[in-house]
Amino acid sequence: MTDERIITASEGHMLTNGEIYASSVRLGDWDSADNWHEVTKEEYEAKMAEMAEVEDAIY
Amino acid sequence: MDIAEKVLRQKKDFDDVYEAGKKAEYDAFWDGYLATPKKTGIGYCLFAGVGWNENTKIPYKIDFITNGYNMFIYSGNIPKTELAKIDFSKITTFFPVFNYSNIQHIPELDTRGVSSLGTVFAYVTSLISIDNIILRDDGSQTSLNLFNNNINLEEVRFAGIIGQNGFDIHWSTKLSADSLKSIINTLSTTTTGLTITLPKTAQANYEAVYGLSSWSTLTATRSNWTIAYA
Repeated sequence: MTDERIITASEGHMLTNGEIYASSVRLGDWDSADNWHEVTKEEYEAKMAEMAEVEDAIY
Repeated sequence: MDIAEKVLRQKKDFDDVYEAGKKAEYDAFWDGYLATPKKTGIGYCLFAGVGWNENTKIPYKIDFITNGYNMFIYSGNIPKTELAKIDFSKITTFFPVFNYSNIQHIPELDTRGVSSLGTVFAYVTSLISIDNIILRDDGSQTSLNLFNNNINLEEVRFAGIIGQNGFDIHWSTKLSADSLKSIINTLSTTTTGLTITLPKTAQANYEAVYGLSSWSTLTATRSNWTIAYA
């Protein structure tokens, strides 16, 4: 991707805006790189496991 | 009429009565099975379980369901032609509808009666195609996380507008170029502050068909959206 409004997580990390997790992001006109920060893959996986537990309870 | 003709006539009469009896039993089963949903509109677990599968034959149009909660949970692979006999347009409550089923192909779904969609296709890992998901034209529908774990989904089309946060289809790494095009073209052009989550394979899948830079060109038409790749 060559769009300058693209931010990419560094190796071993994911980006998050607090709600959404992504390996890269194409920022919308309204968005800013300041809204996104990196978390480690371990933190990301722990969060996904937590969310999966919630889903299991629902389904 | 000689004896042989009489015997054949009697056999035909017997067969006709036998078939009429079978049909009467068949109709009685379906009329009885659908009597309560017809009265209440509740489709809860109506086709739940593997007993509903490729051999399922729905006898007539089902157009009285208003609550589709768990309607196909753990079902077998009910054919698309049979699913097409169900009118989803009167449904006002979705939440999980097809969750954990083994269905592979879903016909057009008119979701305009539903304000909050929910995890409609959650954990349908067998799902390959959805002909068309009709959304409201005003982009008002919420809970757009319909595609949890649809890891084999290749084809999906949309009509209407995606106008709220929460659309996440990142599990569907096999999405075709035309499916991706349909998703992007369904995004509202007038909202701001919203984010959509797509699979990391989106650009590669799209550009394999439409060429280099085509993905940037397409997504530039929705610069009012943040696109997250997960």
